Amino acid sequence: MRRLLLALVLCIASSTAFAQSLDHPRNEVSGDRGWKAEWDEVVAAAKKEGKLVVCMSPSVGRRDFLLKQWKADYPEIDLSLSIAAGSTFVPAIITERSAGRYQWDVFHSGPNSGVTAIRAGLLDPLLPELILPEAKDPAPWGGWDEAFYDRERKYILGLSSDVQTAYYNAKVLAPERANRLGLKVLLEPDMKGKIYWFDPRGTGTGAPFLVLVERVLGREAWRKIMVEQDPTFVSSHGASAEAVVRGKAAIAFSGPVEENLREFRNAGLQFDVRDLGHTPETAYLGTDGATLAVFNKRPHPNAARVFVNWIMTKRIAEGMAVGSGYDSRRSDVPSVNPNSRAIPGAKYVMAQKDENDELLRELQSELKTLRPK
Amino acid sequence: MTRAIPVGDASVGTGFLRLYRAHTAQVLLFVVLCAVAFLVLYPIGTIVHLTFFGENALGVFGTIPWQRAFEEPGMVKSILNTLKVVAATQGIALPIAICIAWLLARTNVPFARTLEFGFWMLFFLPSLGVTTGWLLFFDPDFGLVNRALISLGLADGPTFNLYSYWGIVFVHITTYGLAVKVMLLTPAFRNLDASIEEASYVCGAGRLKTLVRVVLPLMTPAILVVLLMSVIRGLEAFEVELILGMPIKFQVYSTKIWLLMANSPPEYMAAGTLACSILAFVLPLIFLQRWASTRRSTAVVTGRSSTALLELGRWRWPTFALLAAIVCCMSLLPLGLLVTGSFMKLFGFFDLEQIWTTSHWSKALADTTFLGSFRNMLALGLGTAFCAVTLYALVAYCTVRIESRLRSTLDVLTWLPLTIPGIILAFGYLNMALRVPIFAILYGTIGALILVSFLSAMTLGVQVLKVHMLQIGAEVEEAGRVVGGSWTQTYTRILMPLAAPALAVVGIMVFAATIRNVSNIIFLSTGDNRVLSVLQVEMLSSGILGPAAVIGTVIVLMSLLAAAIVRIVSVRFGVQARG
Repeated sequence: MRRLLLALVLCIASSTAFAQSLDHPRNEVSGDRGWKAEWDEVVAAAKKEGKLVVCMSPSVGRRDFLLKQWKADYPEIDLSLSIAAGSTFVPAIITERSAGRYQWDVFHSGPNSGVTAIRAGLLDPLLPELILPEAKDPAPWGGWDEAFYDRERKYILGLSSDVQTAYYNAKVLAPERANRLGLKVLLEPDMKGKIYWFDPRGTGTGAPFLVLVERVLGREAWRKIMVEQDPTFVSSHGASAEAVVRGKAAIAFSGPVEENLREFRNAGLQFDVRDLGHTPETAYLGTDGATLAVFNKRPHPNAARVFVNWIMTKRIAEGMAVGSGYDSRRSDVPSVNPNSRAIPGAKYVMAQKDENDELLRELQSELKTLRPK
Repeated sequence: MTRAIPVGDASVGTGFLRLYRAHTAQVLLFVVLCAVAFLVLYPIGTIVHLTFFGENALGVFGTIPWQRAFEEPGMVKSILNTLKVVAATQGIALPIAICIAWLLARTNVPFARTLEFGFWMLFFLPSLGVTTGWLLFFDPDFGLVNRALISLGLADGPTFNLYSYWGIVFVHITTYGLAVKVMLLTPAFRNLDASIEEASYVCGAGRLKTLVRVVLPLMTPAILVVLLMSVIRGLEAFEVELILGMPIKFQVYSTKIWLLMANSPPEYMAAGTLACSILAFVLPLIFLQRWASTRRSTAVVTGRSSTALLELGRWRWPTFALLAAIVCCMSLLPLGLLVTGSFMKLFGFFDLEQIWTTSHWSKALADTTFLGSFRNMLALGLGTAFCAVTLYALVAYCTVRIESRLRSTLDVLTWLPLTIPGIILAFGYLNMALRVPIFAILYGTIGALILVSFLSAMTLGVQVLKVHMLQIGAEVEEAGRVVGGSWTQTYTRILMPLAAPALAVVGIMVFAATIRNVSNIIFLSTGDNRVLSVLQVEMLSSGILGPAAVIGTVIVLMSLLAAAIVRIVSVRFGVQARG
């Protein structure tokens, strides 16, 4: 009887296991069929829409890659890419909508503009738009909590990952001293008048450095730098890069100047400009103005859905990294700029994230009072 | 003042016809006034409304943006700086421009037309490009002139520093300050009836006395218009101050507006209040200009006009040499720098092993959007210039020729688009393009950009034509009617040919101003109607400076090409300025 019962239990267990082993691939197949079917439906609907309107931050290299690759992949869907300056774009969309016009599908610009767009109620959550397993998987993006730039972690995804730090002229500022002091070098008396800064009072790439310096050195030191060290504000990051190259500036905060420095190098100019280091004490982690979000009430919802899935794939992320010169946030995409790679596991100041937005505004406001001219 | 005549003021025809024609004139004026009032006041009204009612969603009246704008730290200082720069620039540039225009138009200086074209070139050059060019010479650290002086032992340190108040004034004079005045005053001087000057000489007055007591008073309307335009432009200019002023903490009023716009999110309402304040400041000047221009007759083109030029004698060639040197330094040199700069690996770096390259051109021309942007630019420039030449002339005619109190209102209205900085007014244009059904059809197309560009250039175009028409005596038109010409015939066959030189100048200026304009069209530009100037901004923002310089060069060369074509066509068909 016991043997019979044992045989029965074994039989049931093995048959269950067998059934499960049969079910599992069947489920995979059905899941595979599920997303594929949904994807095919969305692509077909997108082709019927025939149009997609995207706004993006200025990056000609990225723009060219996207236009070329999209045309190759989806020739039936006309892609209209407009470069959108943060200061003008969001107010323009708000005005359009107040007049009943809804013509934008995808937001692919900087995080600051993105936060403004969220506050104006212009965006939809991004995750429900994802269909492709490759896009849906948060692992290569370092987890959604890390990858999203908004407070709620659901609207603005950072597509790029680059460490932004200051640049210094090694002939004016000794590398040993720069490495030893890090950002504290800004407080050295001989640095007075030798610091150049892409005007941090506006939306430019010089602004997040205010947060970095305040977070790393504290408010008093930040004030001392702004008043006593008298940094020179310039109107473009190109101007600050040139000042460092020529030795007019010892050190400069300007955001992504790699492209400018590359131009100087390619021209055969001899100079020794180095970055201040990629540690959390000397740099912040940014996204190079390359975020991704979808507008609500978008006129081409299916084309937008195809685009956001498409742009998040490894293949497109690789192309964008090469085009823009900035690493993808995807960990499985090879680095195109090892200098801009974050140290794994290090806790950086995320100066462009929503949480730091209020601090940035506070600092900008105080800066105007400290330097009224 | 020039005697204004009703359109139908003919001495032929029945009383009914005269009455009909007189009413037609009033109707024409009324229609033009309504159209201009709507097109001008709608965008400006949007801005004004925004500054008082835009602070809260309920649209309740408030003055918070005004308080916020004027509580900006350093505001008083920036206003004083603006006035200092404008006063110095205009104080220096205006007398020089008057002298140059007079020499070019009223004397027998050799190659006057070629020299005049040299000043046109200066007008076409972008102020940013010219500023960078001058930095190459006068930067305190690496400027070629300073380095040469030091290496020659003539100086111990930098002699010139463009990063200074006088550096800013100098760049303003050498960009917009001088060129536009010479460009606009020369045709006005050329229209002057030489017999008036001859009468002065017969009465015993010398050349200087004739210039000061006879010529300049007759030129008052033209000079005032040009001066006022320059003052307004000076109040709004910020590019030069941004580059040269920011490193030395020299801020002007317009850089305050720029900074408010650059905030995140941009403070449109506060920036709008500052812009509206310029309008409030300029309005009395507009009325003053109008009063001074119209209080007496300044007609200089009559049925008996003489075009004799003043003989310079032995001063002819020295005068030419002086003017040629000015043109070379202020026009040809920056133009040369702009073109050669687009072939340099690094602009301003002459100590490289390999200085020259064509890679910027190949990169720019290979840009995926270059051709489309180029086509759009041509459509925008030509479309706007065509609309400008045809419609501005009509508006100018109404302000000068039709007897009515309303014409003063029309004249003042045409000044308004210039008084609000482009980037602020662009917001008003966006609202107009979205909310007015007839314009909403154009939204997102090149047509919307043409509309906005047409409105932006209205002050320049209408005022130039107005001054020109003021100089044409009423009897010229009356003569046409006496021989039985209808109003249309008189307008198209007599007045327009006489105004052809001014129309050509306006067409070219509008074309040049339109194809390089970004601020006014920025809100209406999309990937589909992108023009070259917007592509240039995209490249500059992306840090691609070489190809951006190429695009800038292409824009300037297109302006010069258009100007050259107009000149050739004018000469070929005999549509030349008098003199």
